[in-house]
Amino acid sequence: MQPPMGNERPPPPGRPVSAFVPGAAVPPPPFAAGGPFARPPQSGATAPPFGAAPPAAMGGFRGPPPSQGPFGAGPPPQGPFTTSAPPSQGPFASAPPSQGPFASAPPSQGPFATAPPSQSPFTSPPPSQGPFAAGPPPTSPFAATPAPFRPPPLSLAQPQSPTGGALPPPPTYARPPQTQGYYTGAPPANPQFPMSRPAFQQPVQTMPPPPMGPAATFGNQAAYAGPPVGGTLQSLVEDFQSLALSSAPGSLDPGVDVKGLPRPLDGDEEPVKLMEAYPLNCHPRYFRLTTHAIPASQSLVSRWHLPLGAVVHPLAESPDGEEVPVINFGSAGVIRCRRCRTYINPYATFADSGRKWRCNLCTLLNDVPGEYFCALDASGRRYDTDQRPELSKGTVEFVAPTEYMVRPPMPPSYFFLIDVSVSAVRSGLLEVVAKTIKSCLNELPGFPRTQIGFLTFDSTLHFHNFKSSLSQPQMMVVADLDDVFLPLPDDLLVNLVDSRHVVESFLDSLPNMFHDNVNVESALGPALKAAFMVMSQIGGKLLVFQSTLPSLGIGRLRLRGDDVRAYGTDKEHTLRVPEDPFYKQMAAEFTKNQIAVDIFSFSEKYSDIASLGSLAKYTGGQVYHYPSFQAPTHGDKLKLELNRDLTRETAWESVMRIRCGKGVRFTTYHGHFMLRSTDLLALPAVDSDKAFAMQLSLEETLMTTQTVYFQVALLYTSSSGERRIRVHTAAAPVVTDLSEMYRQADTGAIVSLLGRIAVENSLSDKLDSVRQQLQLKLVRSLKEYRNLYVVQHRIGGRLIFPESLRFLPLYILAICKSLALRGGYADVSLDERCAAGFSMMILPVNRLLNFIYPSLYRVDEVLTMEPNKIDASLKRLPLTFQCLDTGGLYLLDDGFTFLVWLGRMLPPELVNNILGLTLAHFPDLSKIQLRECDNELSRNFMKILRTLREKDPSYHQLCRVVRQGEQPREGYLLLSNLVEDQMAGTSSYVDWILQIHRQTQS
Amino acid sequence: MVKLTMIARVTDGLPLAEGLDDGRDQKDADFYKQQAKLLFKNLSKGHHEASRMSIETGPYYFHYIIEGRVCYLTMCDRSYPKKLAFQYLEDLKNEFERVNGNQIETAARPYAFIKFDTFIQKTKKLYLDTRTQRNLKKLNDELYEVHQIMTSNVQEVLGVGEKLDQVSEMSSRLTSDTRIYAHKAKDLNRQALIRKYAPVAIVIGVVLMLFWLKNKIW
Repeated sequence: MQPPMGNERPPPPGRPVSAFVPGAAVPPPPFAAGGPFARPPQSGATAPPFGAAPPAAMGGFRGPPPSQGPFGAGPPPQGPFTTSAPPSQGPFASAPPSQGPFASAPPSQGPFATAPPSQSPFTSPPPSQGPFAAGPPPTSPFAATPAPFRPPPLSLAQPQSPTGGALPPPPTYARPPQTQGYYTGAPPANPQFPMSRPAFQQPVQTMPPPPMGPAATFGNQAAYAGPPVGGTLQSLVEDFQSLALSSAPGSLDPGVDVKGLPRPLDGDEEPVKLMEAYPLNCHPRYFRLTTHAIPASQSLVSRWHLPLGAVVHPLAESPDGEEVPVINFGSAGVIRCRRCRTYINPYATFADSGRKWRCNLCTLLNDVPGEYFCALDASGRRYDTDQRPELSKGTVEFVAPTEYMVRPPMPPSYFFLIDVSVSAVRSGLLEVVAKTIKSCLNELPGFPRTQIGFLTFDSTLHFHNFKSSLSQPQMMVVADLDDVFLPLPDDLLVNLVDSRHVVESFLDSLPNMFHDNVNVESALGPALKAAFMVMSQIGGKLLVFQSTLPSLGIGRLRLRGDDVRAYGTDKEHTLRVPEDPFYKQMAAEFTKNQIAVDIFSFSEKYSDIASLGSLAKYTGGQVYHYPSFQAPTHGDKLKLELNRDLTRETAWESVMRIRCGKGVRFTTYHGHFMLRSTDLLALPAVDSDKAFAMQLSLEETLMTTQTVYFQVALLYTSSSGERRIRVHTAAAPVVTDLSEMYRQADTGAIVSLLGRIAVENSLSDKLDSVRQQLQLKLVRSLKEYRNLYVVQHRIGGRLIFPESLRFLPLYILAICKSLALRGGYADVSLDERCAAGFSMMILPVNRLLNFIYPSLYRVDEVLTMEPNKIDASLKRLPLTFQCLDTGGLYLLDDGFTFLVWLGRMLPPELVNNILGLTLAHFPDLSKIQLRECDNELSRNFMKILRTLREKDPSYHQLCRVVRQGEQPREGYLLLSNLVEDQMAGTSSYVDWILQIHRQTQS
Repeated sequence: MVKLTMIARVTDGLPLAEGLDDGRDQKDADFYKQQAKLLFKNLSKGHHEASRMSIETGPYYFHYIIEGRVCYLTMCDRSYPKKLAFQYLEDLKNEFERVNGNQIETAARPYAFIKFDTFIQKTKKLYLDTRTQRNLKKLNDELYEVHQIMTSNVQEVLGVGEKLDQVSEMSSRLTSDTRIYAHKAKDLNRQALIRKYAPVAIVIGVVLMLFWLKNKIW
């Protein structure tokens, strides 16, 4: 309420000042556009003068000699200050310019009345102290101070922001909103007036009526002198957090409180607050912007060093009770904008007493079809708004009429391409696959239309005839790999209901059929071609089970993964891109015919996931990697993941497009899909386990609108054969202020996007430089942020970062240490690295965060509790070795595996109870399987695992057990996942923070 | 051999079901599908045709039957016996009515009964080979008066609508033109009348005026 009030009063005195210091009044472009007045919506026209004013005001202080610092309130200094005060003050206070800024302000200062105390530290004392008392390194006093979690020295601050409350008290200062525009106004000047500026900026800030008398001011000063940081930060309420860091780099004690560093122990924070501000937006689980504030100008974009974009999860599972409403427009047809084809949404406005509607994306006035007409009430709202979900909800589904169908909805079809060479037989793979598929037959989506087919291959292709009139499937072998042909015109892909018994008898006999197979070759390429021929009419899903390197026919691959010499050279990245263009061409063909490919890879040795995965990458598929698959240990994982893949609700034959308002444009897309035109993503199959990320760019140099709208539209065929359009609509404000962008930043989305960009960069660059780029981005953005705040608050020795991005440094460190980007040749096998990279490209935000920063729980303490209390008492721990107690039992969950770590001092009975065997007799823990044993502890333990698995059904976490000190397994499995610890060549969290801090300061 | 099978509602041309993987190894399938859709549209406009009809198009024939506001259409080779084709459609009709009969009117979305395609698929297979015992028997049956079914060309059928439209348009233009003509003629008549008698009337008027003035003055 206050800013508008101030904005309505553009103080005329502001202009003279700018004239008076012409040299200083060169507002850098971002500045002019940005300006301190963060919320221009109401003040439209008046904003620009304000934007210009502050720098001018800054300049005004150039003149006065530094001796004015102390602010003796003496008459001479007052002169310049009085004149220069109004411009900066204008927007906030109705303070009369004549008022002596340093005199005790009348308590009746309207705008500040709400938060007077927090202002106090900003009255005269601080500036006087900084340059003079503290001297050059204002940092030194901070070094002494323990860290952010120190109680505030003054109890003056009143954290008001909603964000402030959630955090440990002192570092987050809730600041009254009206002041923030004020502070942010100043910073851009900083680069322009480097060193000596701070002292003079302070006075400007103190201009706003000091609500306290001189006595009070001095009191504050005293307090300030003691723990300076707290005092300074008092009024920075809400905006940022800071960390005290030693100013003496290199000293043994880094001066950082390790425990005080921010850690995302609560996992992902969905920006649900936004739902309150924008209740018509779709839920953030479907669409998240990296910052919910679109920059108004190019210059602002260039100062926002983090990616600007969004993460879209179009089919995210919605909790019960929030099902997506389905709308059928019937004969009216789907209502869309004539020009930009936007679907009708809650942000569309109606005009001409309801006969027209204005598209919120392109502002075109469209006719409302007669069937859809409804009168408007006095406020221009349709009477039936609440009855129509498309006008009141951000997420809806439309039933698509015939125009949206190129062909009738195809039945869901599953085609299995199974490698039956010797390694697959030996590892027990065939048996698990056959059993799992058989158990899923009842649950395959799309009954009774579902189609199914199988093709097995080694050095030859084996087709199987499932004609419903047969009692046993017929196998036909095609040995000609150069010119693949289909031995039968149909009955290779059959209706499951009709041929159920044939399919079942095939699956029963599959393991035995190839039991004695000693063929080591694998003709994947020709098999893919054959599968394509079978499926090309209908499309559907192709599941490839590959257990060796493809060695025959077209698409054969070489062993190239174990080339140590390539690492660190310019050729390093070529190992991570597909070697043979065949796979990408094949993928393009598959997508064109609506076939999605899922790769299941089981090889012990190198199997070139990089090449195989590109099939999944361009067809909207997924890569599952089970290194050295052995049925007894990995069987469960494969079984449950294959089960999930086959039975989850899938959207077929889909295309997705994201429209956005004028001025912005989505430029790059990251995920598994094929780009059909510049902005149309072709997705042969898509489900709730896949998310997409995209980057945004500004098309115009200056945005004129106040809000930008986004609309995600996914046109798909459901398994039941309905053609639907799922539409998510969201709005985001346009801001002219960088600090607002920081405030609305969404760490989860940023990390997700950054991670995908990094993985993509690793396909064209060395791992090392990818990691450096990540670090550079982080440093640049924190530096920019620092420039916004640090100087006038003189917290030079501290690392400051926005509250919204407090976990970003740790997450970026975690990305650098993630399976896909970690280390070099020896740290991760090439296949695992590529598989992790493919996973990171599709994981939704929360699962990605859990993947790069796994959850660590101490389990032994909760095992003895009552079963129903266990869930609540499981606490996530920081990922550092210091948290591991040798007498404890820990569980690490990264979404793909469970790692059970047994401390050295753990009571043997406990171990025996849980593992069901004596540890001493079981030296090799890698083959161990956890089964529920008949005792309380084991039951509780398995219950914990079950609840954790239920949280994320998309993958089945394989449970692995490791003992403390059991090298090298411990190092590989656990220690490399302890992201906060120092590993070979990587820094620990503390070092990382120090490193970032040093770089932001330079 | 049956190439294409489509089922649509006659009232509005809404497609209800379609045979699966029709058009395999057939490059012009899309063209004929388009034609079939046009045909449905034509039917829905209410140019009511016979309830059974064969329409020749290129190397194929469309055969359709309309029953209970639903049109069952199939496309076959020219050589495929008409009798079998209609028998096939009859089979589809019976099953479709049995399964979905009461929902046909309420179906709101296209391909609402797409599940029917499995039945289409199965039935189609029975009719694939014309020389099976079963089909031969059917061929010999004289149950259906197939030879009475009209045959026409697709261009004609699709063109008929257009021509009719043209004729009605022309006739309506003719009526409106006549009306204008009549109006104009009346107008002209009036003008001619005025032109003819106006001078006389004016002269008489002047004379009368003079008389009147003379009376007044005198």
